Amino acid sequence: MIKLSALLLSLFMATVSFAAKVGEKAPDFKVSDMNGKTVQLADFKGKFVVLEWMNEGCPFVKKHYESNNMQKLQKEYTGKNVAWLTVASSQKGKQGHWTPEQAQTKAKEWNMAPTAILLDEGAKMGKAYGAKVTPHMFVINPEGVLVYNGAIDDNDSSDAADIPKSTNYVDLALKESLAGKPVKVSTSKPYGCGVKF
Amino acid sequence: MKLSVIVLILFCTMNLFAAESEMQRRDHVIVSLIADHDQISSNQDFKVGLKFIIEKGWHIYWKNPGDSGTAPKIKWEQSKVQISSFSWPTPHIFHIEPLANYGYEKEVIFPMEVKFSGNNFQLAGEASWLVCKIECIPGKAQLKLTIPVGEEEISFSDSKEIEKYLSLKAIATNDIKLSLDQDASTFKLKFSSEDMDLKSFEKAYFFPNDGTYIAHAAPQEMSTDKNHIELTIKKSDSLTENPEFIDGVLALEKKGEPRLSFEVSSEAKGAGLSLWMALAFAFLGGLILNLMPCVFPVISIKILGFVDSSQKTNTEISNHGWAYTAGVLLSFLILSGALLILRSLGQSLGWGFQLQSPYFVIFMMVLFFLIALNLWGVFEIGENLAGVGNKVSRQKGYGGSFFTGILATLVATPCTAPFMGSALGFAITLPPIQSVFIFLMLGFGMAVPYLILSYFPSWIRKLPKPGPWMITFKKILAIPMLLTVVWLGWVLSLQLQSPENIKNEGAWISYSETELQKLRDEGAPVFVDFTAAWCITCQVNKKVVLNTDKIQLAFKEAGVVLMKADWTNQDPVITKALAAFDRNSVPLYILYTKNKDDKPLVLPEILTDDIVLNSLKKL
Repeated sequence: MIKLSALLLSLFMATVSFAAKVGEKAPDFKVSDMNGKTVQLADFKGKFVVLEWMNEGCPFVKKHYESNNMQKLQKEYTGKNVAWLTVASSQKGKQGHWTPEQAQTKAKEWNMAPTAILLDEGAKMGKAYGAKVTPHMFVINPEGVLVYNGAIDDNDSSDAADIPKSTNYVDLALKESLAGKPVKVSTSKPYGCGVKF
Repeated sequence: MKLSVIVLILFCTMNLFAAESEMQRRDHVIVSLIADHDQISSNQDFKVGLKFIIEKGWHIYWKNPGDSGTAPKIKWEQSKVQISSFSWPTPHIFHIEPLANYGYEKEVIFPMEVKFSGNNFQLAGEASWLVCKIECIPGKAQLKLTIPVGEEEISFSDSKEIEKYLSLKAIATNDIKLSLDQDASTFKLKFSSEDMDLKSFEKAYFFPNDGTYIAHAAPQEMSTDKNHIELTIKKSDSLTENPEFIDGVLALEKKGEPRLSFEVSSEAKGAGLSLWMALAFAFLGGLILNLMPCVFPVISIKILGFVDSSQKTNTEISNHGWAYTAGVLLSFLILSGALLILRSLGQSLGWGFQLQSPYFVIFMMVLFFLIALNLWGVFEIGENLAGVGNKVSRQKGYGGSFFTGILATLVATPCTAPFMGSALGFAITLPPIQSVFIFLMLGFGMAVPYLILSYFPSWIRKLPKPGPWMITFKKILAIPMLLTVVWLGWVLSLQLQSPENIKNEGAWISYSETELQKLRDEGAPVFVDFTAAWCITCQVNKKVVLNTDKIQLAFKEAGVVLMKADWTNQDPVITKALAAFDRNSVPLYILYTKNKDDKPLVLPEILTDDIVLNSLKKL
């Protein structure tokens, strides 16, 4: 009976849409990639899209790159026709800001394998999605609806040794999505360094 | 040269005498373990602290770090020492636009409680943390702390340091009530207090325990009136469901005074359940009580009484109804009053507490045994004991009905749990008068069927006429009485056993707060069974579900640690643990999932195989 009143209370409350909410249309964006090409969400119609916020100086990003965990995911899913977009929203003069040349150098050094590396100058895209930390992960389905928003996995340590023990939420969300199933864990609290807007 | 020698000597002597681990310098922090004792006795409780000295401009994090960051942790090496998790000093907010973090700068100590018995004390563990300015750097350090064990305990000046940070932890209080109101985009938190002049504070800030609820960087708009502070806080963009309740720390400031902070929690149901509704539910709960197995033996006495009543006049019968009602109400009044008074004296008691006393149990055993013998016809006490027997005198019978009411209440209270658990938990948090009214309403609900019957004696007269069959009937009714005696005897035997004997029962380990915390930190799922020997529902669940091979196997396969919180005897730790779930009665079943930040699952009071198996799927 108590539950019921809480339920009624929540039913009364209309849901108003916000930026990048799971179950709603993902915000569009128009950004240059590291090769100067303009990239927008509409380019990937009919595909699953992964957005990954990154900052090369952040220890949590390093955890997933120096262990090759991120690259492995990128290779696996771009191989399955998923578009993987790595986004740098750090602004000029701040840690993790990339010029196109710097992005290209790092991509080679780390053997990164996303579909594209996006340089979010002005941070419009980062703010539209409400990206908070690096890494912050989003998964968008072929209809352009956000199906996952949150952390890369369930272990907020900065230690790469913890990766094998962790449950990777992005991997899980993509596996379920590709199998036509609903995403079980569709939001989680992202962990990492603050995005340097 | 000389100076360095002095420094060296000072440093060495410090380490010789002070119970402090070696201070380890890492990027932007110096970290160490300190203790509030220089020497401890072989069996005592004391405190240790994980201490950080932080470089200017850098910060480390609270348990909810805010938009980014991570809380510091410590992983102990296997040791026999029982050690609690951190107590978290109330944090400060760091705005790093557009984000916000909760944490500490300059210096912080995370105090921990140690329960120690043994001959040598050694603690070793690995601390890990994240320190950030704008950039972030994770750190790790192996820390070791040895404290000599001797005849006497010697406290050390570090005790003041630890005390200081312990005092910076939010105060647990019932004085500040939080009611939660929310729409799609904002929370409205209304804090109210009877004892504190909340209006006098100039600044208020709410730090939520759960990092996913609020937009940390958004300003918290404050308004005050009389004894209220209201904070309007923007919800986190990624929050998809309205949470049922919110908890955290309320920090209050006024000019020239140190900041005060309080642990606060709301329950949407608390706000949603008005007093009238609570009274109505209590009434309904009381009605249902008549169907509970523990009330049954007493009801059987009543049935005899009513059958007998068919020879009485209408007024007499309705007077009996009122006498019974008065007995029930008076005992509810006394029980709830005693509970409230003992609680205000700082005792941790829960509903049904009278059965936690072996003396009370013995008294009830004797009483029920006598009633059974009486029903069996071994002797006749008649009206003086329980209003039974067919020689009830017309004038004196009211005492019997009154006493039946008292008896019914005393045995029925532990049975209120399954239906009334959370409502009673809510009632106990209300101002005393209101909660007494709720308990009275519960009693009234229990008495009302008889009261109604007593006004419509024609219904009673439809019952068979008194005759020889009553003697047989009485003999049959003696059986539930004797079963009750057996049950009480079993309760008593468990109460009188040394705790160790009941502690480890098969796969179940006994409840311990530190052990639970440790298991959760290790990411082990834990199932806690809050139970008591005198709780019949608990025993049924155990027999039919929890201890069956099927369910035990399922627990094992899921790697769930089984913990039993036995409330048969009075136990303040368990009472407190129950209160954390807003309960003050058993049974209560809690499943903690692997992720320690997840809310634990609360299972229903009446279990089935499917309920348990489905809950295990959510691990």
